[in-house]
Amino acid sequence: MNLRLLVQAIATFLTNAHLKGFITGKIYDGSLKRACVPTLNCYSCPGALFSCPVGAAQVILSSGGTGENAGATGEAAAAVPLREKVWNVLTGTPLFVIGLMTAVGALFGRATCGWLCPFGLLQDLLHRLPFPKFRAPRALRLGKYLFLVVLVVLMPLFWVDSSGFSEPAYCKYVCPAGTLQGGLLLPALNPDLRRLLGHLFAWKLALLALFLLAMPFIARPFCSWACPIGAFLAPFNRISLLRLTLDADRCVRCGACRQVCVAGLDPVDGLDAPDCVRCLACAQACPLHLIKVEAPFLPAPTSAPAPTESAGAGAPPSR
Amino acid sequence: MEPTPLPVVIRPTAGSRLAWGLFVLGLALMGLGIWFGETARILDKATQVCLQCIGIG
Repeated sequence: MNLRLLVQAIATFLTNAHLKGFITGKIYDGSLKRACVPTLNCYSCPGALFSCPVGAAQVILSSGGTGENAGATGEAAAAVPLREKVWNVLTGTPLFVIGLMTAVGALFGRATCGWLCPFGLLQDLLHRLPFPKFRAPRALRLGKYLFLVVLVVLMPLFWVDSSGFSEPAYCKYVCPAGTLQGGLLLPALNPDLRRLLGHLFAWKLALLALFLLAMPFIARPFCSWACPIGAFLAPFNRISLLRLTLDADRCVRCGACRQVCVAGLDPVDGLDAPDCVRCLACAQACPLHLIKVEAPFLPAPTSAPAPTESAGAGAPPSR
Repeated sequence: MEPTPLPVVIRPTAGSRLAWGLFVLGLALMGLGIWFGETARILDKATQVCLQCIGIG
């Protein structure tokens, strides 16, 4: 069995190991939910043991802080003492979530997307189905940054209703992981919730269906276009401790790495690409072993496996 | 006996100072978040059914 697939399956199980929830329809309410996983995993999944960083960040941002006058606007906000304003800014910023994702990104870049994310596993599995494969326009990849800035940060901060409350806009209007893990499972197990489903649910279901339909044809469409975690971690690929390097001088551009890339990239164009999920398939596929994995926390140097004879320096480029 | 070659070539490095700095900064921010009670507020939200996540509103 593919090692990465095994790790993904174990991670998916461990983050959703509250098995009782899948029978009773009740979510886990223990203290493990203080912590977030560095992947997209809805905390309203009946099995979820930990919190989702995207949901958690929106909750903190929409709170406006924990001071007495948090969320005050207009003249009331002007009258708030400076000390309380500073406190509200500090407690209204998701420091724990930002810190967690920064630490994870600095260590691994987007490797958690490739090795631990349950929604990534779903995308990888569906992409293995024998359908024709396509590459989507590169511009769509910018979508995830828009979702991060507008729906995860700006809307919970500024889109406040008349009673002074704002909502986790990304969870409410977009998140297909939430629809899949919470939206389908919880109402299926709870008739009371089922009666409340309406237009918003229909919209989210349609969005989920769109992504599911795209997955067999396009590599990781959700990660590339709409995942805020992917958007946050993407810049870390350039500086993370876990790195991939390519001996470009010896590369014969055979295209083997491009064929296996789960993110639909061409690794020869740059191994630090923001959408690389560090699955290492390119390093395994390179017949000359020119793609190397580097990190301070890896074991002692190993000798490179002998290059495959059939793919020597004289092999013609495929493109 | 011939050792089984690893599937990929790995190479330990020192890592960049920037990455180490960001890692430490991340840990510090996590500590601050815990100190300010953020994880308790996350727990409050995450232990209730999230109607927005489901698509109820």
